[in-house]
Amino acid sequence: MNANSRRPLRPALAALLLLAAVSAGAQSAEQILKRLEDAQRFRTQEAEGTLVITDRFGSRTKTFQSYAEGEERMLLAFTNPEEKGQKILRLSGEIYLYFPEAEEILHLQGAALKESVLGSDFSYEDLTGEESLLERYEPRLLGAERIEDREHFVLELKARKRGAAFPLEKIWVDAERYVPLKAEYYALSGKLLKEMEVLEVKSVSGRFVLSRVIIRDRMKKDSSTELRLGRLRLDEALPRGIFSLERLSW
Amino acid sequence: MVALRPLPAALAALLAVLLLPASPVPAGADTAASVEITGYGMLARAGGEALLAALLKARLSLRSEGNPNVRGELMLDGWIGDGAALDIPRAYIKVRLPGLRLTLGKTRLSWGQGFVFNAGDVIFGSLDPIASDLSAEELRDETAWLAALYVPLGSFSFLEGVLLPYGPASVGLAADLAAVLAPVAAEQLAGGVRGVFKLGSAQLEAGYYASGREGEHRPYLALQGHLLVDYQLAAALHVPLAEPPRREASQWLVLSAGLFHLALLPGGRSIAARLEAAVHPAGLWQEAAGTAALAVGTPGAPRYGLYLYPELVFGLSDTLALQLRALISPVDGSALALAGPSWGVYQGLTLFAYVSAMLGDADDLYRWDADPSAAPPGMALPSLALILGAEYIY
Repeated sequence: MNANSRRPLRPALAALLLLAAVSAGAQSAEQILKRLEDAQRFRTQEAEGTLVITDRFGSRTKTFQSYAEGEERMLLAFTNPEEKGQKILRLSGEIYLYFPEAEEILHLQGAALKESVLGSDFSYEDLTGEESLLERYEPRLLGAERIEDREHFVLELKARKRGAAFPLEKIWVDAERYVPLKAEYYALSGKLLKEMEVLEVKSVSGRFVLSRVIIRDRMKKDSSTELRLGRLRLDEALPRGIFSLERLSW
Repeated sequence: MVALRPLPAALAALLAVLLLPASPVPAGADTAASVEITGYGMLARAGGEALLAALLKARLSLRSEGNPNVRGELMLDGWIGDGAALDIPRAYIKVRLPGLRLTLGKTRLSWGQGFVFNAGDVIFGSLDPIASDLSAEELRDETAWLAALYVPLGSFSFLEGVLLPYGPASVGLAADLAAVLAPVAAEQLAGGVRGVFKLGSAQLEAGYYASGREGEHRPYLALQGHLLVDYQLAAALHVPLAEPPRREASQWLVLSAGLFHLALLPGGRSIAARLEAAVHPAGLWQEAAGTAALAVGTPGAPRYGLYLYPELVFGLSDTLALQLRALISPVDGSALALAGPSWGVYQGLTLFAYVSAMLGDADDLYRWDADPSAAPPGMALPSLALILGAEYIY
């Protein structure tokens, strides 16, 4: 995707479009956000993927296998040689790490959640969000933009509670498929902290899934993390008891 | 005097043999291989003399893959420095059966919590004022031949029982084999059980371990949680098995505590601070003198009442960090300190440079003018060293 292909609509035209949408009984910001979440919500997800972490010295590739159930449960196991066997378990809003060399389980709490996951632009805190976006943020429809010949809603999300990792977010939502195209994450001061861009959307079992996403941490120079999902299975039964300390330390 | 110790060719060949299975020949479909090679060069001052030394360590790990209910790992270590040695730190099979898990072989069990000091580590003991390689990623990595049974109790809790026929393993293949091949009397066995439970947002661990070889009962409690900062606490009793005299009860208690906090700084930088303490309430709280001072730190001798481990890690980026670590013996006012950067320059490759120093008088635990040949086991470190090295994992 190149920047020139994004042609923001002129304000007057955008206003017209919005007016047309409203008159056609179009959705509120809450409805758009709910449809976005519903479209990206799977009963279960099993995936093999790659994280490409880039900084000014080059790129590092981490491979992983992940299992997720709903919004609350996730087990992620790294499979590349440097971190082979290291695992992350998210369960009931808590994060546990497993280090196979030390045969040790660590319960991450407090400030440790801010640590970067293996030097990527994801923090452990990013993995803890189990409330829905609507529960955490108050959305506002800013307008519409046509990008790469597709219509997108532009939403602004304000955190409902203090202490959110990102007090303000801006998100572009595909008006037809209800997948995000990009998002910007701001500090309370209005400073841009992170950017997310969706590079590829895959159709799996009739659902649209984000299969390539890049996160750029604007607090770090030349830093990005690209997430690529390879094999992906949706809504299929997962091994029993997989979200537990027993499976974490297996 | 500068003594240069080149690696003998025969020993290098030995290491090459060790590494042969990890050369680019693909492993079997159900085996995952990884290799870790670490090389150090050290310029040091020891016993009043300058010393130039080199050390090459290699680790080969072969792990089973494919069977979701059976795991196996064989790990081989080899190193060449002053001499050469081989070791098998891990060789185990784990089997998952309905409702339980079995582990048989040589591996590590981490009981309690703590990076350096952990009173809950009743199996291997993590309270000694170690003077090992402070630059290592894991400062406690002992393993043992064992049989363990793990019973999950819901998602967050479990029970674990363990039996150790030989106690913690000796480092080095020959010593380890000698221990394994020697007959073991029933009264020398060691074993225990622990339970790990969730207590609100904290994790509570309680366990009991008895060692015939070491002649002790060791019940313990450990707690890990977060209250402004991350904390861990552990308390254990080391009670003699044979008719313990109650008047010595005050000597049974050992404690450890730790705090950890990470602060993010502008520009993607961070600072992580850790402080751990080992407390022996009945230990020596006044500096020992003469031969008693020289004995502190040797196995079975009285320990000082308090040891500290402070650590600061400045993350200058996700790949570049500056570490400051120290082991402090406050009672005699001595310390072993290490400082330097590590840089994960390419995938799997880390370069590091450290300066370490023993800061203390001639009769302190950490002695500037130590005679390495007279130092207690494990304490024969140079009084000042510059260490340059690289680690590559693939």
